[in-house]
Amino acid sequence: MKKRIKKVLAMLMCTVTVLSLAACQGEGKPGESGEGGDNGKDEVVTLTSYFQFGINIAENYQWFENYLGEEFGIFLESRIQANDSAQLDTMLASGELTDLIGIQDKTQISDAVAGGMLLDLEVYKDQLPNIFGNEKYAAAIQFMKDTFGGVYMMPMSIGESRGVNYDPQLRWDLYRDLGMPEMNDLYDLLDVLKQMQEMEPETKDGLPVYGFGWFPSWDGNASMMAANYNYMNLLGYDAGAISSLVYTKYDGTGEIEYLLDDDSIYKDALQWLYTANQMGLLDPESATIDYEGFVAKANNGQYLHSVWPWFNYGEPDAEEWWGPASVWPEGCLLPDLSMGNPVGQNGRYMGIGADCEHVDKALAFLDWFYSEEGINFILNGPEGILWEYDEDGKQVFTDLFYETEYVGKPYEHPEGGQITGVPAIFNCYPVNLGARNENGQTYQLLSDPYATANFDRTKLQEDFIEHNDGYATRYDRAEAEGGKTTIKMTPIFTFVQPAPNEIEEIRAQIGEIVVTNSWKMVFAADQAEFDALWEQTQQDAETLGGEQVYEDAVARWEAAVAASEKYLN
Amino acid sequence: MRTVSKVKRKQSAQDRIFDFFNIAFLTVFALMCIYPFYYIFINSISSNLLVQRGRIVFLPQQIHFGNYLDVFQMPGLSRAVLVSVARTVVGTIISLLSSMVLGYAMSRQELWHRKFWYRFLVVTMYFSAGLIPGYLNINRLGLMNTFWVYVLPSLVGPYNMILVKTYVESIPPSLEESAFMDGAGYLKRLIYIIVPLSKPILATLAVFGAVGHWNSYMDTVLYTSGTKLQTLQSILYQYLNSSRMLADMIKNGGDLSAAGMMAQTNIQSARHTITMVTIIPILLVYPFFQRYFTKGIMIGAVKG
Repeated sequence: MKKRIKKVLAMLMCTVTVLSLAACQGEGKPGESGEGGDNGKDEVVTLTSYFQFGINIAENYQWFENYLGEEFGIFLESRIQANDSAQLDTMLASGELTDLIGIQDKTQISDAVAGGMLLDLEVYKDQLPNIFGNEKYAAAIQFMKDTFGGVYMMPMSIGESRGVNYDPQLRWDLYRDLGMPEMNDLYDLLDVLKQMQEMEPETKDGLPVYGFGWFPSWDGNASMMAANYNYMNLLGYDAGAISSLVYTKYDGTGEIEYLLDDDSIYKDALQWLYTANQMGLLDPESATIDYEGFVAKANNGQYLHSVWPWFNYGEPDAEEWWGPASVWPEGCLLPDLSMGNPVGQNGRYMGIGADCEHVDKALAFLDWFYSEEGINFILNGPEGILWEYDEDGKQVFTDLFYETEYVGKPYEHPEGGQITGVPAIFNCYPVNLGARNENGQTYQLLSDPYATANFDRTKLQEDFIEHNDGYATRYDRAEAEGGKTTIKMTPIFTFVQPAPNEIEEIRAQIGEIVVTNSWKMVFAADQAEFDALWEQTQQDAETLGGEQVYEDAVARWEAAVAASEKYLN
Repeated sequence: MRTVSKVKRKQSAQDRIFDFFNIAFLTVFALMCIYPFYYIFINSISSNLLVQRGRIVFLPQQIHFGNYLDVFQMPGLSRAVLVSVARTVVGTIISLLSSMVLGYAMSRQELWHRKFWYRFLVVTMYFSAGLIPGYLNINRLGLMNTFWVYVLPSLVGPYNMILVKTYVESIPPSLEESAFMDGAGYLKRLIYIIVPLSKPILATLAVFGAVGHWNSYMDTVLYTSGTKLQTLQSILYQYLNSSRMLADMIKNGGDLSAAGMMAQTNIQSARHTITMVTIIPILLVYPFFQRYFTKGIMIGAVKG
């Protein structure tokens, strides 16, 4: 007995000793100096990092680690991002941020600035020529100075953009076989969907086919059904950016409208969804499934239409002309992102913690991150592997790319890790991906027409181009036609300040009623029930103080318009 | 055999109805408990395309083990397994030791201000410091980014201490007294009399502790950085989180090209596979301790 206890104790002591030694050893990377020594790239120092918006999926990108070590003498030690503010709140409360920090909440930035936890980058402007010397970032820098009293962080997604976030898609083979009927508004879309559903009431596996589906999980704290604001977007109205009880035209030229007025676009969109349900086009499970269930159904081929272009819509069999294509009713006014935002689009910011011990190295990294070279490197990888310059000095894909990534086999760098996985570490970049670089190509090469000119087109794509007057996408066509079916999204929305707490409470109370009743209205048995529910919603909102929320939203919008003038002109 | 059949014949109609519903209910309940594990397992070995479409519900289809091969080739995984095992083993052993010693001390009437110390510990079960003070404490103690942040904060559990104390109090005092008469001190009595008699409660605590340590991930998220102290659970957490992040990206609008990653990235199968890899080792702990587990809980509860 005694011996056994001794044995156990001895083993325990050994384990503890080994582990404590291992823990000590793990403190630094091999070759790390541990001393200040900011100069000299041969010394690799550890910079802790935390990107609130990063997608950190536990993978090691050894090649990228090696590159940062060789070029900047740094090793990025990232904290797992928890996708909520609690983790950053704990760091703020402790008074210590990581060396490199990415934040997406203005209040938290204000707290960090007030606590002296961020470095004022302007003090180091000489070491940041790619930021302070770049005209493209000038408005963003000024905006940060005006908002926080200094350039404590740099915004992201600055400047021009390109594309639409909503791009109505239809199952192309059925639509083509139907003779591609012209659609002028969203009700014409329903008629077309009905005919398509009659052509194919079931999938190959015997599952029922619907015009489209939705899910309630994104309704969240909003005051309206997420489905509804997505269809309001197709009509050219932004819903929710100022307050989710008001809406306005996407280009910011219209009045601020109250969501629950009788002539509201929200009501029109609800009526449209109700009609779709009456026609048997709306998936009856819409009120109960979650986003993943919705994606699964779309990928099963159970839906004939979606507002987004990135689902497979069943078997991606190009030979059978099978798949979705972008088809917009003529009356749609899709939000066009091309105006971009000179002060940053996504409300995400990057900076350096005030306690950083290796400021020079952190600055060098940040400067590179905001340089054309750095953006290109992160998004497309190093030159000569997956891309190279052709004789015209344009970026094109290499043979290696066509042998690997192009055929769906991600390229593994010999030093370890995929090249295409690195952008996810940051998940946000100084510019918008669809914007053009100095070379006139899009920053993300995969969406650049020149670099992708050699890509094989599927039969569907070829067919679509043939029937779309030679344009590869509806957006290309809309651009060429002078934006007849698009509406440019104004950057003013970025300048809207959050509502005061008491207003926000009223809005949330009303919002809950609106969301619940909206779903009931969409699935109402008849028009009388629909109208009764609408009236009930209006009355409840009025009792709770909907008018106050509206007035506050109008005031905040006017303030935003005034605040934006300085940067937008 | 004869006796058994006699008993069966004597069953009244009411008994039979009760048995029927009892068995039916327990079967349904067991299926409800087992099905999630089964669902994850068949999804981890079925065709990734079918999984992405939510088509795998009852039977696996197009079985392959590519996901497991991919997961085992993940660069950080072996280290994460090591850290997970180490924190579970070391954490459980140390917390068992501390609970045993503390529980024993609390069971002794002669402990100086026993009531005060007991309440001092128990009060922490009702009032928690909260996330931020906890973080500050760990930070100031210099535990950030060390292995010990996994082990030390859960060292003293009042709940465990109460279980041990109650159990030890149920042991006849005469056993300990006889050792005392022979000149054994507290430590000797603890090691030679109390510990051997407390195996059931120690096994119970070992299961609680091991499962708790194995499943814990928030301490990795809050108190560590880099990959060196990542655990299996924290890797699983990141997979779950990343798909939510991508969905959020689409929800909030933005670049189409970035959001398109959602369609390309087949995270679902990886998630299922990592979940399996994470669950299986800890499932093995239960059968190992089961015989003590049942007995331990009963004794502690009945005689407490």
